[in-house]
Amino acid sequence: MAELLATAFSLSWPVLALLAGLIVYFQVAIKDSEKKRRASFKTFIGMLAAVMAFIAIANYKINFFGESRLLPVSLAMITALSFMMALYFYKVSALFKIGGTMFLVAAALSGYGNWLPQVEGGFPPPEVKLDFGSMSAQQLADEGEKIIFGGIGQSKVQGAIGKGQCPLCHGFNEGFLSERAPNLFGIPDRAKKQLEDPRYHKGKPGERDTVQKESFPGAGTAESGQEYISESHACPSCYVVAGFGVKGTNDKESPMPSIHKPPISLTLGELAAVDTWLYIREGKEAPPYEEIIKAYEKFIPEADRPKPQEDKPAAGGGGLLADGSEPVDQIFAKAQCVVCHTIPGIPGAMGTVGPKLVEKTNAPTRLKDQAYKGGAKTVREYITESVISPGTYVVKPFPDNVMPKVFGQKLSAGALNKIVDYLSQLEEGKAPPKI
Amino acid sequence: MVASRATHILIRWSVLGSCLVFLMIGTALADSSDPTPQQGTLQTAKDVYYHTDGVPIGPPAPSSGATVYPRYGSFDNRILVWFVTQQHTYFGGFVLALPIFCVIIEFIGLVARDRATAARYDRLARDFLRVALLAFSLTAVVGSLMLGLFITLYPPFMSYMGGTFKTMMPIYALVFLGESLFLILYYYSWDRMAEPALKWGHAAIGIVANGLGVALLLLANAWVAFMMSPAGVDEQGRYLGNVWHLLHSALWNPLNVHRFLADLMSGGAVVLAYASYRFLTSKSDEERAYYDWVGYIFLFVTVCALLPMPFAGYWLMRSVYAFRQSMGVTMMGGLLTWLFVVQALLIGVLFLCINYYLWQSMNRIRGGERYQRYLQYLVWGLMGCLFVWLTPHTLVMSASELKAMGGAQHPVIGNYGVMSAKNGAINVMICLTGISYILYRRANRTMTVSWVRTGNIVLAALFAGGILNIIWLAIYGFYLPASVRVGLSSPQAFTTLTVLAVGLLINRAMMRGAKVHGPIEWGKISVRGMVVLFGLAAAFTWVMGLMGYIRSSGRLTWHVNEIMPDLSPWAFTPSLGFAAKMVTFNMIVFWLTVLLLFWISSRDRLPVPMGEHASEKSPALLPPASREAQPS
Amino acid sequence: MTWLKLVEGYMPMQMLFELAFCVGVFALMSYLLTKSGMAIPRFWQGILFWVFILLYLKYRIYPPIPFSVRAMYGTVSLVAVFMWMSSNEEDWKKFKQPILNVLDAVTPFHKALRTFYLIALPVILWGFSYTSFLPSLDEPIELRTVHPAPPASTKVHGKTFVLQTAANPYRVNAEGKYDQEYTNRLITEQSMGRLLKPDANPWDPKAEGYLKYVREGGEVFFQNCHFCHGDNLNGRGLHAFAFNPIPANFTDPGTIAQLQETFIFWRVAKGGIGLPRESFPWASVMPPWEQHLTTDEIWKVVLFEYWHTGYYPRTWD
Repeated sequence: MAELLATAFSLSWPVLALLAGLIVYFQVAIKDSEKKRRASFKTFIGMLAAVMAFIAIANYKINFFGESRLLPVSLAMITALSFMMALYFYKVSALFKIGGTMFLVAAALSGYGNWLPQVEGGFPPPEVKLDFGSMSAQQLADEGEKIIFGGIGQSKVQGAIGKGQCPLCHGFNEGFLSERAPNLFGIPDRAKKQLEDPRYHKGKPGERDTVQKESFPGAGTAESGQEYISESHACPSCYVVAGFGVKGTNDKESPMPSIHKPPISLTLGELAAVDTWLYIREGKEAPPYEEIIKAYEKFIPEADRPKPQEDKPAAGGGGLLADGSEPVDQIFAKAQCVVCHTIPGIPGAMGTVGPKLVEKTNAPTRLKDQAYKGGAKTVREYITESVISPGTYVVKPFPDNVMPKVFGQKLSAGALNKIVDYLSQLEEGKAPPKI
Repeated sequence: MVASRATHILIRWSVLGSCLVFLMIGTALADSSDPTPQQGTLQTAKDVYYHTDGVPIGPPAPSSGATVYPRYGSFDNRILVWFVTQQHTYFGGFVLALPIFCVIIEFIGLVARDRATAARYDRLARDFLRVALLAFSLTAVVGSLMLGLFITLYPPFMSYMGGTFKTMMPIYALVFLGESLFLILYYYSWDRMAEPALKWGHAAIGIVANGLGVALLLLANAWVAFMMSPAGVDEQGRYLGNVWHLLHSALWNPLNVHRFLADLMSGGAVVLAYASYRFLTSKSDEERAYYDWVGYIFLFVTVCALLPMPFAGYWLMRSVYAFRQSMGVTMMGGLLTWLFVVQALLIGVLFLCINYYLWQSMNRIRGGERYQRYLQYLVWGLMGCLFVWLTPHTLVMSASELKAMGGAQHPVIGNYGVMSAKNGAINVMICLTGISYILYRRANRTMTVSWVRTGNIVLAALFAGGILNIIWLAIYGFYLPASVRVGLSSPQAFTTLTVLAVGLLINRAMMRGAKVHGPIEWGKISVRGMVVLFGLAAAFTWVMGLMGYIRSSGRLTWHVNEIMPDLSPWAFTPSLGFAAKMVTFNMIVFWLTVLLLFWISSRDRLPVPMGEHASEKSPALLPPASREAQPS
Repeated sequence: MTWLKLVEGYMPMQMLFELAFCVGVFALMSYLLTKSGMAIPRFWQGILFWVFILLYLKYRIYPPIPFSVRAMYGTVSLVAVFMWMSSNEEDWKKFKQPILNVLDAVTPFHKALRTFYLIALPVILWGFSYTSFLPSLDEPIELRTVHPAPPASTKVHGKTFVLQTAANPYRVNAEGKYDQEYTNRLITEQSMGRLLKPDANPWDPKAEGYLKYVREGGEVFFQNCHFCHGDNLNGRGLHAFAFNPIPANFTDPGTIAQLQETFIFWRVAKGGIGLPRESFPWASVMPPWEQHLTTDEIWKVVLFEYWHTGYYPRTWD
């Protein structure tokens, strides 16, 4: 209540002062006592209404971000006020009546909206870091299907296409017309046969008549079915299936781009996923992941291998360092608090760049400090403030501007809450709480 | 006259000034987004939507590492942008619709046979145009404010969008400039081109101005549609050089139609508010009569814009589903589904308001009191329909209520929550509104044709049969599989349309040569009737704001769907309650500003041309049936 | 008034008809009273009618309607009463008269009434504010999206099923091909009492194909599901009332009748813990049946549920 009145007053004092000034002005300026009385009375009513209106506005303002069922009461109050004012200020009563109707509609609709159950949408999911190496064959195959067709189950859909863009040229289903490139149905078996094709020159790359004889000098030719598939991905022109070469080159050059190079740039892991799908979908057992990777490493030199994108700084989860689902010690670790601060009970938190965080002991004394200029009143508020806006109060003798000021944006509310929960329980000389 | 001059100067300078500001910001923006570093090799990339090849010439969408959102104090960037954008949309819609109304009204005035009516229409059109010009400059100011906010608060997003839409910027600015010039020309040549011969030329200027206005809307929609369903760019968001693809993304056309209709509706709503404001503030009977008539006309205009709205909405949602099913599910069945409950509420309010307005209108017609006693049955009919219409599919209840009910589905009212029942309810409501209208048409007439009794019986049988058929189909729908049930809505709609069309025709035939008790006494409508008009207008704008929130939230956590993620701290979708608060706030600010505009423009009001003819003449927009029955 | 049992199956329309009937009775009564010179004042007519509707909604309808819906109905009927009272000027004046009388204190009685209101209204307002500020001990209102948006695909026993394209492998015709039309024709007749279609008895030992799979699904159902979902599939099983919310009622037209077969498959396989975020707070004890049943058994039990309830699975429109 006090907060409400304080807010209302802080909002309304200029208006009230103006109205009070008007009263004084009327006392002085109007000679006719009857007129004077009426003018003053009206201004007084105006002041009263202004106070109530601003209380309503203050209520709206304070509760704007919260969940309060009383919120539409603000609007209903303004509605009543408008109609009341319409009684006294009859010259503009139409305006007040219309305004009142509008507030009534607003109160009804927003009341209804606030009364219905509330659902809030979450933050973007953290970017998934795919670890192809530890996937099961089926998982790997699913990822492969996504790369080729854009989604699981899309391989049956006409025109579906994914990052790998393979279906632009290749057919994948039995009997499908595939003019620009071989139909890849049955490729696991066919791969082995192709090695024996005289035009393939197995083991003797120098005898090939294609524009590119080897994937890179010294790479050699494929020895197994999987190596054949890998070589075809890495160096399409090393061997061109009869009839599918660039027109006019007599099958010496392939129209297919090297898949590990731009624009497609699949990583070795992704290529392995694609290959796994080719086996799994025909019910065949795929070679293990390591073997496929090895087959690719044979044909793609170290320098040419596209880097997986996850080397970037971890910006997943909407750029959040921690989303609050982790236990508190991990939050401290992820936000790298432990590097600078000593936090009892948190493994590895031995830093001395910033103060030791025993906040149940520290915070009350800091709040009493003369130099403290922040807005916090409680220990929890103090901790929250210190995390979000470290510059508000800098503990002596530590320097200002060392602690990053981005934690307000980089920690979710849940994560922040956990941090504050934990820190506010820490007391100097006592055992830290269990995590 | 001094006040009038002041307003004119205000209009002129604010329009020109805001044009300048807008252009400056536009060019600044076009400059600030520096072109992509041209790579030496020209590589082609594939359009995400059209799957055509193109050479990327635009900047790629900023990577997640590179997006930084500045913060100023404790402001919530999104709320600031939300507020300003919503105001811009409100005023934009209003400004788009008003000149269209002006031209139409001017045209009606031009073809009107009798001079008093013509003068009345001409005056009305001009009245609106002045409000429109004031609002136009306000829109431009808010628009430039919006641009400025985007640049300061969401720089990565804005520089990407600016870079992608660079080719369109000058066109946008030009169209904007063109529209403002033509509008000003339209307004200031009103008196100078008053000669009958020149008048047509004058109307042509208005049409050009409106054409430019619509073009402006389409261009602005291209941004919004691009954000929801990008096209014309490759997977990294690089623009591929085909302007048409960039414009013509999957949702562009549905959005265009939807927004155009919504703008007409909101424009109509503002005019309704204007009429009721002027009605309530007017001091003479002529003025009251005049604005009573304006309110009546524009209720029809608004309802006409509203009628195709469900189809436009259906098309839009269908396109959303076709574009990305997940987006459709999020909007219609998932996260945002409760908002449609609110929309249903609005439709209920709309029906109640229209009926109530018709009944109130009967009070200003001599003889209307004869039908008053039938109205209560319509009330109860509407009430029953609304019970069904407003029952949500998922009931909100506490745990104890859930236990008492024995399940989340209520055996009685649970059945009202599904589509089949609701289709029935809405169709019955339309039929009941039809009856209201028939009563309204009969209000001041006593029928003299010989077959009155038969006619009435046929009418009653028609409506009863139609309503029973609708209810029967609704119940039958529960016993059919969903895929068949969908097909039931067309026989229901067909029944409704037949009943309405045949009913109105029979009624019209019955009124041939009817004895007229008295004219429509414009201005005699009760205050309640006019206030209902305003309430309707306010509710319209509120729901417009809410539906905008739904559309925008369909993208969830993307700035540009699937191309540029929103990584700001405000990326989450706010809850319905919060959206309701925000929309309420926006709507209040909008209406307060609009009321202020009304007040300003009524400072130098012109005399109302209702004259002594007014109470005798029926407006030209009334269906012809009323005119032929007028005593001449 | 709950002693008057409503006929099952007709209840939704019954409520509307009863309301309409009451309106008729009211109109008749007011007509008769006016005729005999004892007309009820307009004001009280309106109030009486509104109170009647509120009472009807609260006590007549069984099972009780939740407060949220009653509040909405109450508001709608209040608006309707207002529209009724103010539809013409005379009625409106008559309606306003008692209110104005109190405000103007025309008689000593009215004056006393006015004084009473002057005291009572603030007290009522205070009481309202006070109770609304009291901390509530109720469980928070639970909003469950009953049919959450399903995932695009679900993986059961290492096999990926795409919900949009997967089909029940046992919904087959005599030739063994997937055929919804054929199987729909064999589903129990849906009417007041459910009837077996002639020549469609799954318990016939000679039954083959679809009907055999239905029986096998039934066996799975009665070994696993009926404890909660009930032997009539109406969600009133032996353990049903130990749970909150109680298990789904398949005979309700709002459950499986509204959903695709693959949706049911997904729900059965993943259970309560597999619900997405929209279905927060995941209040479902349904086990993820993939841990206990094979994929085939799940498909068969889905088949049985549709066969027994007489509903057809929704198809992708």
